[in-house]
Amino acid sequence: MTILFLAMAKALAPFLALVLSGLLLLIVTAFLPKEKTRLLFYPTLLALAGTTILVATNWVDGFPLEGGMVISDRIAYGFDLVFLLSVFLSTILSRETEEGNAHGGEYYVLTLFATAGMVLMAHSRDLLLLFIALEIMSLSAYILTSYRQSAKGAEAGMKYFVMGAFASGFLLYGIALIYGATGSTDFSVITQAGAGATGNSLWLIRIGVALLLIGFGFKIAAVPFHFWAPDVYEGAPTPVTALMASGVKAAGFVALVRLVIAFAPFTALPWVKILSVLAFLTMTIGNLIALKQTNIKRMLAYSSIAHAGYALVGLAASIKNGQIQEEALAAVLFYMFAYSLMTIGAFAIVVAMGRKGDEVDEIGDYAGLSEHHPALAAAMALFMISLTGIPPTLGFIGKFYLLRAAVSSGLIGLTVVAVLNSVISAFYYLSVVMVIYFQKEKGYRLPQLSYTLLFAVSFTAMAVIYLGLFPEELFQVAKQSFQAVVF
Amino acid sequence: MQLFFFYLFSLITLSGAVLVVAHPNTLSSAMSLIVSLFGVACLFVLLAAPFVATMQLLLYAGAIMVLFIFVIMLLNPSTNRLVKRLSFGGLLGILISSYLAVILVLRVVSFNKPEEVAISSDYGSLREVGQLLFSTYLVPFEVTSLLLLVAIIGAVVLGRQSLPGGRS
Amino acid sequence: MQEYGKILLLFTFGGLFVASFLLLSNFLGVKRFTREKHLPYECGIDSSPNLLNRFSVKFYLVAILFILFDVEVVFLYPWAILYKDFVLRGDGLFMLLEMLVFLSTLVVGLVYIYGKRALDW
Repeated sequence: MTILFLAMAKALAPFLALVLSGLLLLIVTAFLPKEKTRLLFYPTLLALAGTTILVATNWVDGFPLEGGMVISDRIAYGFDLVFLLSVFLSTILSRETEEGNAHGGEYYVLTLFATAGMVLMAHSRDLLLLFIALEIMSLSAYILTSYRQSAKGAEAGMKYFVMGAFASGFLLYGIALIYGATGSTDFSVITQAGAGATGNSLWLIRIGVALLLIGFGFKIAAVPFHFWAPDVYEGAPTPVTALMASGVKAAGFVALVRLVIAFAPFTALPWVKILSVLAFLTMTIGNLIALKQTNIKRMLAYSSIAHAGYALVGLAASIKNGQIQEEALAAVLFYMFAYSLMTIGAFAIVVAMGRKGDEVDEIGDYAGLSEHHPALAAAMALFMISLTGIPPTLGFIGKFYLLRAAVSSGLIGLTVVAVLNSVISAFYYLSVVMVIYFQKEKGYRLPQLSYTLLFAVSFTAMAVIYLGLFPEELFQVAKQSFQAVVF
Repeated sequence: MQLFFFYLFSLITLSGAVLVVAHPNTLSSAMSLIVSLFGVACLFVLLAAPFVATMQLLLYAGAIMVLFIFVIMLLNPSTNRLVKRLSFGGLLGILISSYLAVILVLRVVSFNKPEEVAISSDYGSLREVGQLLFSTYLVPFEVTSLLLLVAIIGAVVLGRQSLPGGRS
Repeated sequence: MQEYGKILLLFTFGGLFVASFLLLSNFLGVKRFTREKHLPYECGIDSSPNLLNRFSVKFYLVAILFILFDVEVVFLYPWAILYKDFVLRGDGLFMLLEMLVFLSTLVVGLVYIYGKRALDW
């Protein structure tokens, strides 16, 4: 038993590293005056960077570590990299906001714990552990959302919490039904027991899986479970919004990927149809409502919903005649990586536009940015172009891989819808570019930019261009993450 | 005998639940919820789940109800503001819940009594649950401590207005 | 199921006891109501009409922290009962360490609460 536990500890090394550094920082926080909050900025980045190195070396090593409920395969490590990258970048953004400076170090501690939750979600092979990991992530995210003590922040946190608790109810009910039918919460046992299930117990599993899909649908803000997203994204501090759009969303997708791998082969549900309808609704409604937004954070929130829809296309394409298509799942992982980079870049510019303790998030405020700060304007234009999916950017490549997978799985209709949606999205993304370049400024002066923020913007911008031109190696990494997927 | 107690405890649970909804005073509603939760705990005993029953009493009827009552006292909702008016949402709720009730009643009426399954005498006991908790479910158990810690931080962060030196 | 009979007996007799004494005092007691007896105070300012004044949020903080540590203690019960078995099986030290890991995570929380002076008024 001790040996088994040591194996688990080894498989969970990235999670443990994050938790331990979080605990250390928490003790420091307890005795740190609020004005010195920013002292925790670099230790947090260090912890994240260290964990990233650990995860990357483990990915290269390649052989899966297993122990009890924990699995550390390349799928988990691949998604870990997405989480860590997005948390790293959004933490950099928080340096420029009031949350990262003057409201106590809990901000950084909770960021680390939220990351730990995401990592544990990717590494769990058991529904119960998956649920607890999800709760750790979500609870941290709720607190971070209402970290700013304003009416808007409180409203956002409250909405997020109530909808999240609602989603947790669905998840727990689903887990209970699956446990009732198979007698286990372990994915590998469930797949074995489920393969022989018939009649009532098969139906219990199916209803359970449907409830799980709804629960995770809430987490990735898929239509029709998206109502909370715009208000929460708008009310949360911008770095936290960036984190929710990238890391938290990717964590929802890793759970969905595990769900598909575990349940698609034997449940005989119309998986492709369900996921296609979900993807269709999510893309279309997200993009259509985004057209009418005047607040950039709300616009990016609806854009985030739409992008979840594109990723769902990949998920729908990952099942063909009951067989798992590894390439489609790899495209989903790649897309989460790509989308995280683009959207955090865009949010970095939203942070740059605001002063400390004050956010400037009306799209009209971006008028004349090209004269004040041509580089920043160019970067924003680049992110908008990339989010639209125009070559030669990362956004185009990500969509290309997704749609290629969809075509090879025979989802021609869905592919056409996705392309049409990209055209719709061009209207609102490019209108931001128009405002930046062709509208007269309204006398808004950009505050002084700090080096950390410049780093975040230039890093994401360069990554979007570089990986847009040479994506092949990164896609190979995503593809190798999904070699021979089993539980 | 068993059946008699089942109906007795169900009666306690249901009457408590009805009072929760029907009582005009919020505080009394919360108190009725305790009665209802007590009935549920008794039902757990009948289901040979004494551990869950104890937890139900200790955590729900004990601790969480304290929280409910605190929230009521914090927000102090005046009773006369809770005017009952039939809105569209309320109507929808009534429809859905009566639909659910009909289904459940039909299901229960047509329910064939399943074969009785012999279970060991210590099934569901503290010992059995603990055995599982500290072997198969050891990792979730450990990770739960992190969840509790995050909740502690959340309580302090969100309540920090009241802390010495906190912003007002 | 047998051992619950005693608990049931306790509840039954407890309930009967309370009920009988209430009824007894109701019938045997002498009641003389006067106007003064119905007032909350015989002198001084009349009490505020609203019984439920708003509480400070600090009470809530104490309550929620209590619940969180209460949940923690719940996990200690089965552990304490089973610990002898673990020792006999040779897993004693391992289980002790496990519980220490669990508890120390929450002790960090306690340190944090003290450091933030969350329980000061």
